[in-house]
Amino acid sequence: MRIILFFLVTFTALFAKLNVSVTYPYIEQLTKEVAQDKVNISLLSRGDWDPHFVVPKPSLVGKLRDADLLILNGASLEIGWLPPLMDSSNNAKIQKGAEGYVDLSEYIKLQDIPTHVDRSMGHVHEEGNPHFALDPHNMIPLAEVIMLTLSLHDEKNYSVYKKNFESFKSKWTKKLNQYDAKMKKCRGMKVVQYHELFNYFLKHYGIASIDNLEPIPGIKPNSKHALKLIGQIKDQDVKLILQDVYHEHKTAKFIAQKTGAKVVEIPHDVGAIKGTETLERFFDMLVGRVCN
Amino acid sequence: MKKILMTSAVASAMLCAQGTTAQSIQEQLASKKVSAYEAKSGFTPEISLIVDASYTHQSWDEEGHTDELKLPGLVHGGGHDHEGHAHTSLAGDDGFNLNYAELTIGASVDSYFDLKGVFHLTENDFEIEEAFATTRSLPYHLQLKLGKFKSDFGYINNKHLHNYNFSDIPLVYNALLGDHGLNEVGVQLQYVLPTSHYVMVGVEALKGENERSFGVEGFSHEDAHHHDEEEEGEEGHDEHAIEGTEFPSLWVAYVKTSLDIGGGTLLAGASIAKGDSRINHLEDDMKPHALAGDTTIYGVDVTYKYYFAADSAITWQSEYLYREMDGTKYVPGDDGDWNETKTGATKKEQAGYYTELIYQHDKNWRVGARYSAITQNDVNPIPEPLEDDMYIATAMLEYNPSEFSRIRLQYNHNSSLYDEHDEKNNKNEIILQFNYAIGAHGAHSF
Repeated sequence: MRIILFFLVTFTALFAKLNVSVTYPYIEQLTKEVAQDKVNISLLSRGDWDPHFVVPKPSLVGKLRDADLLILNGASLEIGWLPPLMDSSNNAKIQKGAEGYVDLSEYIKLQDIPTHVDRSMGHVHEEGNPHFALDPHNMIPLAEVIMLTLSLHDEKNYSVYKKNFESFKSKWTKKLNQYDAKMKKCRGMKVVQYHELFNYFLKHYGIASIDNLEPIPGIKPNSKHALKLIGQIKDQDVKLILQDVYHEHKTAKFIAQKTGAKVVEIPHDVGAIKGTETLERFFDMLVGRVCN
Repeated sequence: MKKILMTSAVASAMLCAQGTTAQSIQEQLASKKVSAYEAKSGFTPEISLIVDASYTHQSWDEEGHTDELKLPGLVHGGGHDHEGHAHTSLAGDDGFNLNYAELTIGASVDSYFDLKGVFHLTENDFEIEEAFATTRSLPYHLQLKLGKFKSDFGYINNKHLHNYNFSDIPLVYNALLGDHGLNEVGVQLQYVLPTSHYVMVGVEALKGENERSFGVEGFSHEDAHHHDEEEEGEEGHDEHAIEGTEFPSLWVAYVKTSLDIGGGTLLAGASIAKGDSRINHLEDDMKPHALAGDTTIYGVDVTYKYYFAADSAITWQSEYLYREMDGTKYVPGDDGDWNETKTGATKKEQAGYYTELIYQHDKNWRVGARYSAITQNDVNPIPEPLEDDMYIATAMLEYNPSEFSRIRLQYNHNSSLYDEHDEKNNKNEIILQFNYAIGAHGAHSF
């Protein structure tokens, strides 16, 4: 009898779907590509929100309570909202250091690592710039990490996850070839952005980000800095001002009027702008709007 | 039976095979890690320091009558030293104030516990506001907290001063629990229910030292006789001596739930705090007295937040507290003569609420209003009915240059204080408050 019970328990465990909580929409998309319908995914934020300031709704605690895995961006992007939710979830599986805590930033070589950090420099992340998901070339390595992590927790589906990952890899490799071809003509272009959101993307494609509308990270633009920017844009022949969806648009418009540079609204995650509901459409828009 | 054995053999073979797969997956995953990152993790605890200073300008209806202010039936006259622990008088402080510096240190102890200490420093005092360990890996979605901590009773009680939307604690909290709220030594156990929406229940066993409603230490003639040391040594007059309470003398329990409705989030809770009371004011110069009994406080709280964007929201938050205090009152005779002590049954039924509305325009600007009032103030027996017309109306405007600094302008119309002649003395005050934080990035809970 006991043996039967043991197998019953083992098999239920084997056939139960993994519950995966993810912090941002791009992670949801990657997980979907790898897992298809083999796991339950719960997303904790929205693509049109500032990723630094997600609302820590108590309803999210319920999602984290039942999670077997928590896949997060890391590099302190979630530090302003996720820790109290994790704490309230009373779920040992997903606490930092536990097996179910998956920090994607550990698998990416981070850029813009400051040699010295001080709050007078604004909201600087000492680990480096956390917005690595904006480079389409990071998608395959991240998908592979997710594939391996899911497999580790759900071995019986390893072959499924691996197969899904391989088909994503070949699909995405084609996409990357398209993006690379398209971005070639914009190499050497100069832009300014609101916040250092797009550095990984710009750097990969040889586009120079001259300065930001924020005087320092996390601090609102001021007129002194705007005047300096106007001078820089004119001197260096900057063509584009990259505006994200969640910061105010006034400053960019004002500077555009004074300089003739063009303001383009750029999505920073899946779902940030209508028409970016999948990973492909998101990067299509990102590429299309920066370089056309 | 054979079949089962067969299955088990196959299954174990499968598991073994999976064992090697698992190892290879693990190795593959480990090989993907960027090694440079790991060097970053150290053993330094997270440390932060918050400094709060203000400039206050007060004006009173009766400027001369501010020394013995009270909330009749709730909090009485003057500021006093209580077990070496100075309390701000009800009058508040005029002019420049260094309100506090708060030092927080926290880290994981090991894979089982996290430890956090919150130290409240004023110019001449060092207080351990909180010092507790929480479990990291209890099964069944349980979490245990041990040490000194702010109770999760109600909504605002577990918040630190700098997380309040105003510069001071609401009137009803100050009246029933004091300006530190329920901040006790003990243990707490919390459980998150396996429901589709958030439901959390918690229970706390606490020492019960709260100055307004509970208290643990007994009292006797020696307290009453502090003016006259020579009489000490007299035996046999201690029939009114009251023993201290047994630990734990205070129990707190609550349930909290949250629903996402109408594009916003509703958070609601119900709490109860029940414990023994030993309130010793025998050393007071004016009308010394003491009380021994038991007290129950019920609380309900509702918060609704509607978000226009992640950094722009409107929040309505309210709490109602009701206290029932049953006990025996001891009033020593003239000059603290314990033999002349009058005793009598006392019952207090008191209640009040606060309600506040906060509009957050963006990361920088917030504006809000709060109204807090006492709605019931029945003390029996009492020679004449007590005042229950006590309220404070508050408005504030906040500018946050960054997440780490805040400048707040607050106006209070305080119509809750009565002077030594039982006359109401209204206070109007303007507070310009500065709050700065350095160190570890404290996340904001809902």
